[in-house]
Amino acid sequence: MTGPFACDLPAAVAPAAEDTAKDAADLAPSRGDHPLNEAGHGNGHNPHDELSQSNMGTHNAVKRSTGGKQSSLKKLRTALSKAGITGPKANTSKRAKQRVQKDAKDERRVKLQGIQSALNPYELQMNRKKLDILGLKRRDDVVNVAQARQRAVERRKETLGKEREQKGKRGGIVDQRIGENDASMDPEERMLKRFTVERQKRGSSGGLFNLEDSDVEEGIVSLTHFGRTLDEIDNLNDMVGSDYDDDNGPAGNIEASEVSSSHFGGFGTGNDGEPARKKSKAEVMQEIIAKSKQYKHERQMLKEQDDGVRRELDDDFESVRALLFANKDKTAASILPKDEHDETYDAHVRNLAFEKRARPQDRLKTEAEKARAEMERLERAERHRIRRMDGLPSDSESDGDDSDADMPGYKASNKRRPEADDLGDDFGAAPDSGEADSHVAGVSLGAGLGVRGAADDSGSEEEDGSDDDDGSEEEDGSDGDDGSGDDDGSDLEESADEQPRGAGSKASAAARAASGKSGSAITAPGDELPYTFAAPADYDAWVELAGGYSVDQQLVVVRRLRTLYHIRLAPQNKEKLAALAVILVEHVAVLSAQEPPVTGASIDELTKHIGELADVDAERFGEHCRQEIIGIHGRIVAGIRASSGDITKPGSEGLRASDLVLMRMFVSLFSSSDRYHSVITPMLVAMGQHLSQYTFATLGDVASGLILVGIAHEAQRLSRRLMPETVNYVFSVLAAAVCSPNDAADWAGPFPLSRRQREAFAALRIGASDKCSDPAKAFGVPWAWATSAAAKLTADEKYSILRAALMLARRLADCYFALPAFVELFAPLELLVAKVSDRLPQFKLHQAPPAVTKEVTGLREHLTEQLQQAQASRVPLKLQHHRPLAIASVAPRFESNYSLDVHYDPDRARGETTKLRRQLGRERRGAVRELRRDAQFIATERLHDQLEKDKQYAAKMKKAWSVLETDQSEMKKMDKLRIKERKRKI
Amino acid sequence: MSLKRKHPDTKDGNTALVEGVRRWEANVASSHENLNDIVEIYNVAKGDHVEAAFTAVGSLGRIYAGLWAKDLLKRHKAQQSTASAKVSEWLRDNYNLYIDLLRTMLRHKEAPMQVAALRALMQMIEKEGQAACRAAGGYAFPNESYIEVLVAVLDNDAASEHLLRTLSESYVSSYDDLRLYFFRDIAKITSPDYDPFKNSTSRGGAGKRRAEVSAVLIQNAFAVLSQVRGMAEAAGEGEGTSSCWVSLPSDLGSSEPAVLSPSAHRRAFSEAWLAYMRQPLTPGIYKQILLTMHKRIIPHMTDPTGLMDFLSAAYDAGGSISLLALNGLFTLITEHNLNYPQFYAKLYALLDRNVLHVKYRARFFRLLEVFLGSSHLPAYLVAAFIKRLSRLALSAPPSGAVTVVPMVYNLLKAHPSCMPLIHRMPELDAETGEEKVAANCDPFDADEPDPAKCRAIESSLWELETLQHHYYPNIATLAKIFCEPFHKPNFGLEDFLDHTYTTFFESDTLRRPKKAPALAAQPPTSLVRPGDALSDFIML
Repeated sequence: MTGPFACDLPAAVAPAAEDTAKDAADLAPSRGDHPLNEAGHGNGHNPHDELSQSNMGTHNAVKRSTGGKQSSLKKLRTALSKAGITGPKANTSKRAKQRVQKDAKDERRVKLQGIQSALNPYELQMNRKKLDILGLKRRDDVVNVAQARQRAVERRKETLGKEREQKGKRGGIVDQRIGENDASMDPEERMLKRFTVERQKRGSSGGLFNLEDSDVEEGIVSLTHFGRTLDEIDNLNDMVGSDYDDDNGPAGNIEASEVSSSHFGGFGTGNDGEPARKKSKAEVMQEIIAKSKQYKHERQMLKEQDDGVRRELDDDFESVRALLFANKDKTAASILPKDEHDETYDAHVRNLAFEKRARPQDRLKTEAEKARAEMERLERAERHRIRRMDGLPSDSESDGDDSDADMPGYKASNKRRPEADDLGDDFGAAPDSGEADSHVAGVSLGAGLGVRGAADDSGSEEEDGSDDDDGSEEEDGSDGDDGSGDDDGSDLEESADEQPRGAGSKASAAARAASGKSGSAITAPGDELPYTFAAPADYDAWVELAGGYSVDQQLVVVRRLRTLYHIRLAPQNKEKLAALAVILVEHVAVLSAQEPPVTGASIDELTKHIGELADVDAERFGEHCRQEIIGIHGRIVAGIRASSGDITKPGSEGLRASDLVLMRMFVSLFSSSDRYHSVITPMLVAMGQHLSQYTFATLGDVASGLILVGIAHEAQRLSRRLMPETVNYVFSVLAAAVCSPNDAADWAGPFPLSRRQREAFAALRIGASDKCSDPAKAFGVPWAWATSAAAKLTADEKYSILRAALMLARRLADCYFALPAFVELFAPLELLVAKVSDRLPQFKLHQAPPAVTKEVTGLREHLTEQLQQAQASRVPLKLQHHRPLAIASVAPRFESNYSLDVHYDPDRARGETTKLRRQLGRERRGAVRELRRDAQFIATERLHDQLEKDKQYAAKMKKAWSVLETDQSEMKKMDKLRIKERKRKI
Repeated sequence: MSLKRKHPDTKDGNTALVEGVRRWEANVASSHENLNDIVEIYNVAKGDHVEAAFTAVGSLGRIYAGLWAKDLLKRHKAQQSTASAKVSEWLRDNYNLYIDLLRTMLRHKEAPMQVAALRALMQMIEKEGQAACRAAGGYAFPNESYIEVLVAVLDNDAASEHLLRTLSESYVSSYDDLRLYFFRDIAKITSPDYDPFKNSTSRGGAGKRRAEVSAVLIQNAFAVLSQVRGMAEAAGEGEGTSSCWVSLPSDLGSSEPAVLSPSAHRRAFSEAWLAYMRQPLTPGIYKQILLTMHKRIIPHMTDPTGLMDFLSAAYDAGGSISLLALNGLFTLITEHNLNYPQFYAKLYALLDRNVLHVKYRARFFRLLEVFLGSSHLPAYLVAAFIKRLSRLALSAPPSGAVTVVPMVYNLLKAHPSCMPLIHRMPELDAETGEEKVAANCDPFDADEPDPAKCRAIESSLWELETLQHHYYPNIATLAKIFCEPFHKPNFGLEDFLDHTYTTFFESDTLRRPKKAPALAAQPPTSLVRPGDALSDFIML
């Protein structure tokens, strides 16, 4: 159909074409009404002109735009005929035609509009496809702009227009009936919908099996009138003045009697409807009461019947219940007293609801499984320890509870772990409250300790400023310090005041304990001890309680206390045991300080108790230990000051033997390999300070120094962290054995050495005259040496010290072998040991005890070997070996499926930002557009309003004018008439 | 009061004597006829009654002040036989006796008596000076008397602290002339030519030259010398007005006296200190001088380079004295253009085994940072210092190690050519292209004193890697920075200098732990674990 349209037009179609033209003319006025036509065709170009032009054959645009091959005229024609507007009319009678005429006109108009808008090419917006994809349908291929605009206007009219109408108005009634304003719904549909919603509402309000409200379920809403339901009223049929009865009466005229009886509830008269006999108000009320009583009675009867049935059921249930809960038969037997009422029933229902379901019991574990569980526990503990050692937080929060259950304290008495079907009451809720209690108690006691500790602390703090100066002053061997000397002196006095007070209470308690002990020393440990004790709350109470017994008896007391106040027995026992742990720590300090020292076995036993009790309240225990450490540090500082003053003066204050015991105990009580530990780390710092700043002069000083090194080594055994003070101290003690105290050059080595210390170490030097009493002796260091104040050492003591230092040196070398600077650290030791072994023969080797010489030669060989190994395995550092950074590429990026719509930003974050920014812009533009259109809409509306007003006004004025004009004309007429008449008269 | 309490039995005698002294004083003041009463008063002053003696000394002071004012105590040129000359001579002898008495009182065991004697002596000097001014018709200072007073005060083993403080604060620091002549006299007194008995012919031991300046004098002189203030004003640097003990006469004559010239003050100051420093000093005084030198001494000297010998000697002394000398030396080098050969070699030698332990560590490290802060130092030198510091950190207390780590970090950052110290790529064999395995990869010689020869640059800092395993967690963490890329800004060394054991301990104990301390996985069964290091040698 490419040829000119006019040529191809068959003759038969011509009238139809005429018809089409007429239709087009029909369409034309509607076009003007369409508000969007203006927007669509701003240039005023009329599409219908084109339509008419298309008769001349130029309709390429239409052809292109519709995408079809038909001419637009033809299309119009087919559309019209399809719609039934043109074409053969149904052959109907004239009457029928007339009848449908009105409907048909409307229908026709609608159809025409549809066709028109479908065919108007200017209302269609074609979205051009760059790449046509087969099978892909896009919604926006063709968009009818006019329709869309129309829709938008409609929508605005509904929302914005409504709002505008309501503006400045208050109140009003909102019709919330479902579907009331929805024209698309039938009344039927509307009712159905409402009914459904009502049903849903009612269904959700009550339970599905709510027996009590069954009548409500049936739909009888108990609307009442005079206490009767409306149904009854209906049935009674005695409603006064109802329409049904009132056929005879004149419509609209209600009798006064009726009004008085029915309006306002009939309370006005109190008459019944029957005019014959009026019931008095009392009678009516009585009647009502009687009726309500009757109903009530009926309901009760019904209920009793129900109850009877239910009771039967309950009785039956008992037999069934015995089957259901086989192991709970005891409780089940007592569950239902026969004549209990509903309340007890409810209570039982609740009990049943909360009762644990029966469950299969856990199988008892086999030996192998127990071993495996224990192994897993240990592995887990080790894993956590290593994490802490590396300074990572140990993830033990979750299985801290496990370990609680695994506490050795529990294990001793209770082999079986708590299981799920244990009666949970006594440790479900109660331990919590107990814990809270103990926590509170712990805090208050902790605070008490804290106050004491703070006092100590402030003391040491005040000392401190000058202390370090002093400490290092001593290092550089000067003997005159004019500037700060005075201050130091005053500080020293202060601390002397301070210190004994802090320790005073403990000392007196110790005295009491000791005196009590001596008083009852005769009583053998197995002697009559009470079997129950009041749990001691603090150390004084403990002294009251056990001060009178010997140490062995005290151990029995501790054992009995632990049994009496076992944590399982009562929730508050936790607090008591925590207090006991703290007390025992103090007691160990007191015991180890007293003369003569107690046996190691009892200290061991106490240590064991403490170890088992420590985790009852680790926080409180740790806090107490911290305070102990603070006290020890205070003594260390005081000792350093005292030792720097005069080397021959025996340190009256300073480190005590009990401090050594405590520190050793803390190392094994706590996880001492942690990278940071709130007890161990400060303790190590204090030990380091003592080792590096104290002037070791007496046997006690040197021995306690060696013990400190041993303790520090134990603390670093697993973590293998370098503690230079220990190395320095051991080196200097070794050097002291053979080096001349007056020759500084003789003391070669990396360890720092002050002149004062060098001179003090003269006591350790093994001279030619030093002959040991018995070469076959063991040459150990008795613990008691730690408290010795002997400034002159015997040969035996010197050899013992030397041997201890050698053994410690070997331990340290083993401990630090893996360190990268092992060679730097221990090559000087090799020289030192060589010096020792070279010089010992000078002092007549045959007099040196074999225990020592063996140690010397052994260490020498060991070190040589270790140093060789370390040298061989050592490589230069590569600490800066970082992952190489990629060189920035300059090659263009290639995207295999490149799309313009996708943003290929290599920087993901930036891409996200760009995306968001674009979205923001889009939204903003959209919002602005919306607002603009809203404003336009409102302006149009306002214009309409104004036009409307103007029109009304014009009409009004016109009316007024016309009235006035009429008046005027009539007046003129009258005037003319009058003039005429006057003329006639004249 | 204390005097009375000491002699309760002689109270009556005292009051009688006091009355007598008052009467005689009135007599002397009333007419010249009664000058002989001076002898009576002098006898009381020499007597045992302390209170009376005190009164007598006071009244003698008043009498001689009056006599000075009347010019009756003037020295006459020749032996004149006039009556007035004879009176004058007699008065003069008595005056000398009085002065000698006051000098002995300076050695009194009671500090208040010493101070009273000093005040009396200074008053005499004032009067004598005024008389001398009148006689000379210009300004004159009685330095001969003053130097004797100074010698009496300083060369006095009984000198109380109070006496010395009074001398320095009330007199030398407060009056320009006293300060000027004090400095001049110190220089004189400490010079070997000085004869303390030159003028005091009246006393025994005349003509005996002393072999050396006594230790007491040096000690006391330092106590006064180091406390003298007001140099800044006297040297014309401040705005303070000058005040003189012997007040300046209204017409100063032809020449301006030295008291008013700032340069004279400075010269006297320099000479005094230089002379003093030539004396054999105790280590305490030595350190004190070195400590305060760069602030108190060098700024007021005319030619600070004169101190160079002293400082060089101190710097060579080794130990803490060297550390202290460094500060003064630094001032000379930076502000007075001193060229010190082998400075860095000596600085290197200062890094000995005790340097991280001593009290002056912070002071030293501040300076060390400055000296090593220069970007023009050769890499071998910086490497030597880094290696030496690291080696020392290995045996240092935590407070020392915590200084070394940031310092080394800063040095490595400033001298990237030293980076092989912490990161050394193995050398590749030229032929095979394989990595060479060094036989002994640490060529560093710790005992080599010359930083140029110690071959530190060829070594590695295993010591700092070891510090990553330090027992104090903060240091271990800090030492980890050497494993990270060097992107961090330089450390402010000042934050790391003032740590001590006690500050570490307190920082650990003052903060409350957030959670309970971790307990050992296995509770102990005994105090000393079997197999423990203690179990090797401890016998329980």
